[in-house]
Amino acid sequence: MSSPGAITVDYKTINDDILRTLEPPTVKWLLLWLSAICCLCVGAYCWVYQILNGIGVAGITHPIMWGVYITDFVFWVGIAHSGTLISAVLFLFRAKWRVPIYRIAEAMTVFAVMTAGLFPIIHLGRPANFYWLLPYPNQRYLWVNFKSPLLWDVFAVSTYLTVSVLFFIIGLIPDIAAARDKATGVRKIIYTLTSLGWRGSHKQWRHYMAAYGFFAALATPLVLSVHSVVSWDFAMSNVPGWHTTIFPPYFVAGAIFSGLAMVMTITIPMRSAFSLEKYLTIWHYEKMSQLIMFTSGIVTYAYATEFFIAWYSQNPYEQYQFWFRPFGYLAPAFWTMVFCNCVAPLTLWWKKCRTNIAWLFVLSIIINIGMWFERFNIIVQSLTVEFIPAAWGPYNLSWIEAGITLGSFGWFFFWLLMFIKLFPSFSLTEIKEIAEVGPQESH
Amino acid sequence: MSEKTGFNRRDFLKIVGATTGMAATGCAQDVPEKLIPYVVQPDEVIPGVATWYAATCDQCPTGCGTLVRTREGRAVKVEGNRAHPVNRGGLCSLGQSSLQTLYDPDRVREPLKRKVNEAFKPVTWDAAIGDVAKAIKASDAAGKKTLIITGSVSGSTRTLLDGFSSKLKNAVTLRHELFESEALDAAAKRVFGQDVRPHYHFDKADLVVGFGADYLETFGSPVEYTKDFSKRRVPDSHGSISEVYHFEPRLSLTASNADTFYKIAPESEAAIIRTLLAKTLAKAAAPNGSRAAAERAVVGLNVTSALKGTGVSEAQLDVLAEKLIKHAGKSLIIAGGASLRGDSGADAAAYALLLNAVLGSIGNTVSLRSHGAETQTLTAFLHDRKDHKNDDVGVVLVAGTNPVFSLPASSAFEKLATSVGLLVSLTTNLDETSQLANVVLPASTSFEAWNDGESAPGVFTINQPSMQPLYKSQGLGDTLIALAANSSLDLKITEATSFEAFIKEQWSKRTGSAGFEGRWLQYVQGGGDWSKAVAAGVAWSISSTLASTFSSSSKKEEGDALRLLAFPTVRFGDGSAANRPWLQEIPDPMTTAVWGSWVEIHPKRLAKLGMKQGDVLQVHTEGGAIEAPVYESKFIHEDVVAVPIGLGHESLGRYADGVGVNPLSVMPVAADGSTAFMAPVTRLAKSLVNEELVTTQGHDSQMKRGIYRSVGLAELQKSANGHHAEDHGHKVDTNGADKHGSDGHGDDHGDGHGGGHHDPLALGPREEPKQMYKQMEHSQYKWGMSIDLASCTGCSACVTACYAENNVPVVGKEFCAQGREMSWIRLERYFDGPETKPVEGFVPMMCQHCNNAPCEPVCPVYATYHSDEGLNTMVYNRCVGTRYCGNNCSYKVRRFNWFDYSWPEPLNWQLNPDVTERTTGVMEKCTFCIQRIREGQNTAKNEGREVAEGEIQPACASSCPADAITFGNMNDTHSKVFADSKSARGYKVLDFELNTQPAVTYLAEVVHEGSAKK
Repeated sequence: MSSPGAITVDYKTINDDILRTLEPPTVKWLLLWLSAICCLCVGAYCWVYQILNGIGVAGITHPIMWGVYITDFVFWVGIAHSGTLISAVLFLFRAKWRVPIYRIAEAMTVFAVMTAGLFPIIHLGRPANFYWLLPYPNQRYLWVNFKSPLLWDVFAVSTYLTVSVLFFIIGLIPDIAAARDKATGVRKIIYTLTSLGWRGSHKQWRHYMAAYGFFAALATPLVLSVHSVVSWDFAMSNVPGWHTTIFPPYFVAGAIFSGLAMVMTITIPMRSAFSLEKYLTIWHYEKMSQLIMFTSGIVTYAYATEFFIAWYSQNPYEQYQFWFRPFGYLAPAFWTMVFCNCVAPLTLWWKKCRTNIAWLFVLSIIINIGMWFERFNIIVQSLTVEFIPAAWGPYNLSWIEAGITLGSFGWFFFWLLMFIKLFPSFSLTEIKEIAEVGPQESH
Repeated sequence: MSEKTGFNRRDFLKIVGATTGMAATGCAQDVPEKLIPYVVQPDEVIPGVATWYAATCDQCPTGCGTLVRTREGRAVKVEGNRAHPVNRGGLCSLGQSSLQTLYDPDRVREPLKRKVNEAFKPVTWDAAIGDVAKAIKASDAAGKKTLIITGSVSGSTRTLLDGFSSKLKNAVTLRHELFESEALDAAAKRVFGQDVRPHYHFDKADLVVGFGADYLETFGSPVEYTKDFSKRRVPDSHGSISEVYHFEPRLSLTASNADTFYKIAPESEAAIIRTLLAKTLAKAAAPNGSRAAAERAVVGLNVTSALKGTGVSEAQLDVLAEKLIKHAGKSLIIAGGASLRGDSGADAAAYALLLNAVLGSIGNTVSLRSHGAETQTLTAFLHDRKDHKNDDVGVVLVAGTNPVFSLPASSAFEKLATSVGLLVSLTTNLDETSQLANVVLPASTSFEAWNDGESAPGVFTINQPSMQPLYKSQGLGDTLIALAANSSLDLKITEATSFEAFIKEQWSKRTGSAGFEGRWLQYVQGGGDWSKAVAAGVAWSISSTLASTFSSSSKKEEGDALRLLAFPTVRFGDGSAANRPWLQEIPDPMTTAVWGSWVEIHPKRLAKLGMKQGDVLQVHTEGGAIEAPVYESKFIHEDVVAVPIGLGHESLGRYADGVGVNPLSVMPVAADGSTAFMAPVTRLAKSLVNEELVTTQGHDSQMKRGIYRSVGLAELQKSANGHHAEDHGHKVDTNGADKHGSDGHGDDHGDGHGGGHHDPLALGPREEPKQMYKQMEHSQYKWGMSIDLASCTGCSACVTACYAENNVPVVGKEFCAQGREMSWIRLERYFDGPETKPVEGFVPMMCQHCNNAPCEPVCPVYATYHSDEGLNTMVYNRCVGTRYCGNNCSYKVRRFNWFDYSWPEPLNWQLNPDVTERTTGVMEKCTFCIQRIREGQNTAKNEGREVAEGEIQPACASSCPADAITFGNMNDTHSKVFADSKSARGYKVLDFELNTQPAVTYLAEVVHEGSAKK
């Protein structure tokens, strides 16, 4: 008898199947990796161009002083979100369906935070002075302003990155050890070092499980805090459209929404490329789809609440802002968001759609586009029409911003693809734990 | 030596040293600039301390008094001279920006000469003067004319010119000044029989009725008029203000300041004034024999047919006529400006003067100033000799005027200029006229040369140079003296060898030689001598021949003819200032357009053409065609399309060439030879050219947000009477800014302020809300500002002042289009009013220095913080450029350096050494001119006292022609800013909603209840 989504293969097959991802790269992989590098180069060129010429080469201007870069920042922090949700929160809740996806989701988290962390620096007027945002002792007694949400951001994102990386590494140890046992040559040396002398003894397992549980507990509040703090960048200001208490839960829900979509975007091609259908079953995707349905409902409700509050408050500034979003000159961005985040996910109410892998792949990309536009709407639309009508002005999207955004995808996938080839992307140990076969030889 | 490595310690250190050194030098900055100290310290120059010189502005014929601030021998700022009786401290954008002609990178730097069809070659002054003198001699001997064409000149230059031409047999001096209306002079001569020019006293007028005259922009003496006009827009001790009507085919800046604006058909001014004359005549005093003339003037007037199609109704004029009679002697009718430079202009001007006479205004609100027999105008000269073949002219000397640009292409001047034997141009720039010249002489600016003049009767001004000439340049006076003294001419006009000596000689002659040397120093220091200023005008009577000049049949204009109107703007004047980047970038107050011309057109007319805003429109007249982007305006008469004057240069300099179009080039020559400013349009067509009109204002309506507020006069008086009954926070119903929102609105943004039951748009001090947090404390000073919207005319002189004082960079058209202009002060113009007062008003918006500033807490590095003097300070060095402050600034007055901006040599010489230049990636904004505050505080400290009221003036306040801006210490309860902050008219923008507690109080404009109702 097997439960839905059960994995019914023996440990050896699991080992072989999962570690197959570490085999020498195929041409397809190389092409993907090279295109990621190409995107990265475009982004790097654009950034260097921006540093040499001034931040004005980007579309940000008066009065819209934050634009695509902060949109990208929030987008990537959002992506980073579901990794920890899946690995830590669902671990604590013992949700079985997380097992085959949590490793790749964690990797995604780490690389997405690495990507997101670049944007606050890219967007600075004087990027070379980014370290002035850190409270370090100095002779001039210069200190940072702890009242500023941007500073909270620095702490939130760096804490999140640190904990995610540690959690990620700890989870990897037994699997690296498994890879070590099979590897030869340079890989052997790397895995030997990074497995930190893992031998699979009972004592080690006991410590390991304790540490894992501890980090899961530590990471769980961060799931809520990091995006809440990011949302405070907006909510703590007085800009109509930003200044609202709904933002923290709204942002967290949106982040889980987009993060899950990104997990789908990544795992669906991997599943077919490495023939992992045995492990990533339709059941798993259906579970993810259900969570997506749920979070889509939350963001839709949040959007509606913003409009309701704008009307209910009778605040003319807020009202104009929420008239402007659907009917102003940036209306296409608004309606794209509504379609992608509210309408398209409705298809998941049908089981046929939930279980159609091809549709889920398309939908996951649609959702990611929608979530990018959500942030774009919040940031750019709000700043376009603020309090003083004489100072309103349009945004001028530039190629440099597009290039750097492209580059951020290049950067993300550059690391992710490397990771896939260097470390086991699926948790051997946990898959074995839930595999419905009797204990056999090997780890 | 280590045996294992074969590498000893000494070598290791050498390599470390070498690599460190290379790394260090590789990252070193550019070659350091050398600072060279004075070998001999000049007496007057103390490094770091500014020296101010009194001077006279030469940017228009008015001659306002100025003070030039110099630092280390360079002029860095021009401001109005408070002691000068004409401008009394104010100075317009043109005058302030004259520095950018001094430091114009495209100035002519040495005398140039060329043979026909060859390029200019530099020559020495001696050679150039020698050539010119020889040519004049030869031409004069051959019986050919020598023409000397200048702008409007007075004083010693006039004397010298007269002397020079009288010594030659065939010399003719001509004047050419674009905005000097010959039609008005002719009308004054016709009405009064004398060579007089009317001068207007807005401070004495209770009722001002304007016909096309842009008296707040370029007409007459704009700074003086603005000052007087604004004074009467603020309620006086009796609580009354003047009432202003304006009739014009389009909404000019002046029209936008009127209580009632009537958009009239072009050329209908004469009919309207004549009707008013007829309607007031019976009840008016009509002194000095004006009744007979007036009766003759209105004979045969059929009001209904006369007013048909003019855009005003008889009922409207009845109301106005009643008011005119009520305010007889205290009313002022002023006609002039571009819209009167058509066919019926002469009649309209004469009717207006006669109406003033009939109402008894002459001698009260209008004084007549004798201007004697002026030299002939260039246009009249050309007109008189229409058929000449030009072989009677030998030499033409053009100085300080640019007829090729300001005369229509159909004018005979260009033909004359190209066919004459020698055309000499004394000019700062190689302008259109100079391009035709054979010899170009570099002219000195007023900062480099001596000059004098007469700004008003008895007001004699001196212009002393404030710095050494930058190049090998000379003024007109010195050039004439050099020419006259040249051995080929040897005219012996004067013993003086320099113009300075000549001026001194003239002044000594006029004021008496006893004790002259001591007085001279005073004159120079003070900027002139106005001890014998004559306030009253000349005695007057109506010319006996006037009556006969009016024909009884009223001329009927042809109906629906579309006309192109060329109108002057407050920014560019006659166009000679177009190469100043400040003026190009400072938005036109009405359209907020920068860096280019536009065609103003009514939406209906535009729709008929099937075009829309953003298209480029081609306007054809008989004189040619021009094309510019469309600016759609409901406030222009359907029968007019209008293009601003001053742009469209082909040769002036890098900032002017190819920017905009020159409407004067397609104008016809009027009947009297002058340039008409109105031409029949033969065709309108859509152009295939793609050009963007860049405007800086985001939205034309203030969305009832109370940024601009006004209050009715009666309402204000009522509240003033009831003032003592209430404690504070009394309500004044605002006019024009409708109430919105219900009770409790504003709570969602407030940081817990108590009273939520007030109207957010109410005037008067706001009820002190309960504050949740500790408020800022300011022990000694808390700097504050008040801006009186009743005074502000929107002229934008404050913007220019700010650019000049604070080294605000100019970014150019492309970046302006992206919204990256850097101005620290913005003139907001909202079109929310009724049809007769479309512009409710202007709001100068700069950093509000909030006590509870939204920008401060969000900066992660404390680059912006609240000083203990109430300033919201900006530390450029600390700024990393997160721009969070800019987003969170509710007033959107923070400007970010998106790029590194720089000035080409020598424009950078103008930079104020007291103000840091900002680099790319940092935020900047208004500092309340902190450098001036520090200077004032230092002076006070040295003298062991506190800063006195009015001692510190930010650049905007100091130059404001309307005295609308007041700056001072809010902690001083006797200061004007403190009083203003408690005024019943006072309000703070967005304070109610956001609890930002701005340091800037705006005083609501006062309007007449009857006139501005929607």
